Amino acid sequence: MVNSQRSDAEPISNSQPFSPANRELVPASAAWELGVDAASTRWTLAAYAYGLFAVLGLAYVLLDMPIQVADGYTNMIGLGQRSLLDGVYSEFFQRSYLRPLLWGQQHVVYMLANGRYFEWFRGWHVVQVLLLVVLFIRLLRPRTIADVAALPLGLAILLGMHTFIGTVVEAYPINTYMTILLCTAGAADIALGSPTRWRDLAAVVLFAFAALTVESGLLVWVVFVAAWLTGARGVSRGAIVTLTVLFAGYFVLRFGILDVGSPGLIERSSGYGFRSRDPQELIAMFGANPWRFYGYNVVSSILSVLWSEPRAGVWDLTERVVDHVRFSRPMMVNMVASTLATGVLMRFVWRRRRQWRVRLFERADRIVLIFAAVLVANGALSYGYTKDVMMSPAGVFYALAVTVATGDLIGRTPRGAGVTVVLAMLMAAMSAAWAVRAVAVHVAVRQSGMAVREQWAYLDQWLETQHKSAADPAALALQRQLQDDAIVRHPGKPALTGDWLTWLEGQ
Amino acid sequence: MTSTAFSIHETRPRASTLLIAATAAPAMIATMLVLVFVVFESSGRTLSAIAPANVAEAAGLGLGGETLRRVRMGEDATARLSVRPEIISSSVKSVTALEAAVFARQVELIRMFDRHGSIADPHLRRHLVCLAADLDVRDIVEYLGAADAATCRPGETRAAIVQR
Repeated sequence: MVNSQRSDAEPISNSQPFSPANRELVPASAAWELGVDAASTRWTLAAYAYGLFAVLGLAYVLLDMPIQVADGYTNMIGLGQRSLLDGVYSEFFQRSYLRPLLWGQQHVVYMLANGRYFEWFRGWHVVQVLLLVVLFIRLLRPRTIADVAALPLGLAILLGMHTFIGTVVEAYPINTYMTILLCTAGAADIALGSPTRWRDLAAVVLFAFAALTVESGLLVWVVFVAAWLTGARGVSRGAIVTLTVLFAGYFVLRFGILDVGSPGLIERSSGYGFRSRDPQELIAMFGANPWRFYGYNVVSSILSVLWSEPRAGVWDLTERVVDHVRFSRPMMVNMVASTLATGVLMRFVWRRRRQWRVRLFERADRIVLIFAAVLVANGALSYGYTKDVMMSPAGVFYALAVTVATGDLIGRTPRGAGVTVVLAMLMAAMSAAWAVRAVAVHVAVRQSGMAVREQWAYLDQWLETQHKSAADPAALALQRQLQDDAIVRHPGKPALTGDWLTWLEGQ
Repeated sequence: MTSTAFSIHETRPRASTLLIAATAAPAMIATMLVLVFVVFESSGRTLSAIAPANVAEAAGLGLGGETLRRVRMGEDATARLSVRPEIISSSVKSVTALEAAVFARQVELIRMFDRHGSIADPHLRRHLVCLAADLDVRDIVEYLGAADAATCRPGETRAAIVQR
């Protein structure tokens, strides 16, 4: 039964047309997009309720973590010294990085905080996670029991991905990577919705905001274009052209007008082969011809999302196989989780190949294809060096893609009892492995909070080693306040103990 | 409500309850476990954790932040306090926070105490150097004064602490 009532469902005209003639090519989920009934509304509400529970657990540990010293306190020192416009303007003329709106966001929250830095910056981090989970569920549109059953797994992948950890364990004060996750997920939400004028405007504003916040914000353009190419018409052709002009304009601005450049090999360490290499080593290996290193980084970054190996460019698990060294428990969990999840995704791609050949795309197809586009583009943006968190946008779309693929797997195929039991065991193993990874992220955030408190406890010693000192009275006052926040006003929770942690630490 | 040729509920087979449960249950259980942990900790009881009962235990666990907090709240780093067997070892039952920091091999803690003026007394400083020498914590010996370590009787300071 299909109800004519619609909530946020896209109109049929937004999908590629289908007819009784090609009905066999259309997944059952296509009919599911035609409308919602009371039961599906209940499932949608259940999905949001579950999402709220998932956020509560993470919010608890996020609010236990103080603003960190390096790249946190040190970034905040300059925020009160310039006006918003002066600060943003001057950030256009930095070397290697073009991130003026990152400074702008930090400045705005800093001014709004008016001295209550812990509450505002840590609170904003929690709000970001909440918004991400809401966008995640909006994109999935869970309306049946199978969709809702796939959601806990999807959220476990979202929060448990190794690419996600860096968006929550670092309190910069504003985690830039998390901001870009919101921008890319928001872009997908705009692109996959019903066409309206405001979406065009929102798309342009969102792209400009993301691109000028951090380099990976350029992925917003990739999301819009990939969605458009798969038939999504949330934004118009004109908006896509405008976005493309802006995308090209970014490079003209960065390299032609401002001459900002980009980070070179000497900027930071990066993994290669079985271990991490420092900048000098990288220059010695690739200085004359860095393209091989860049290619390695792109491929490594893509594989890392699909199989959790390599990690930050280092093939640790492979090395253990080669050397016949036992895997750690987290490595086993990661391997099982990623292999099964990517397997489910590959099954979906295989099953839908005929429809894709005739360009018949449904919402689930679009999500999977947007993931493919973001994965490749995100990998390309990581050419300079590999780091798990740099692939976090691809990680979010991986979670979305695996979730829709799982919903498709568990929701529609009639099977014999034996096949169903085997499939159920595989799904349980996958769900359990991702659940362990998601819990591990909570533990990692808690332990990161403890580590940050140690930084604050030994701040004087750290400043000495960095040959820094807060001579400016305002900087000194800020330092004292943040240290008091971390040590006295928001003291740490007890350290966790027990063998069970060996399953979680080092994910 | 109208029925159409594409009605999902007419053409789509029923999802397997077993598959649905197998997919959803592990991840949901993990979320529930996290929330149970949060509820317990919010009510004052942290599951599977060790919480320091005093500044000596905090130092013995090597917790710089908690140690500093307790010092700022007025706890005395030079006072002998009872510590549980799992903090340092079953043979060490009563120590000062300064001694506990040496047992924890935390030169950063010793430096922090020094900055707070807790090691101003030369006798106390020598006592800590001798303990660090007994435990072979070289960075603490070097920080507090390697010259003093030469005057220590090997093993004596540690034995005295164990006998308390």
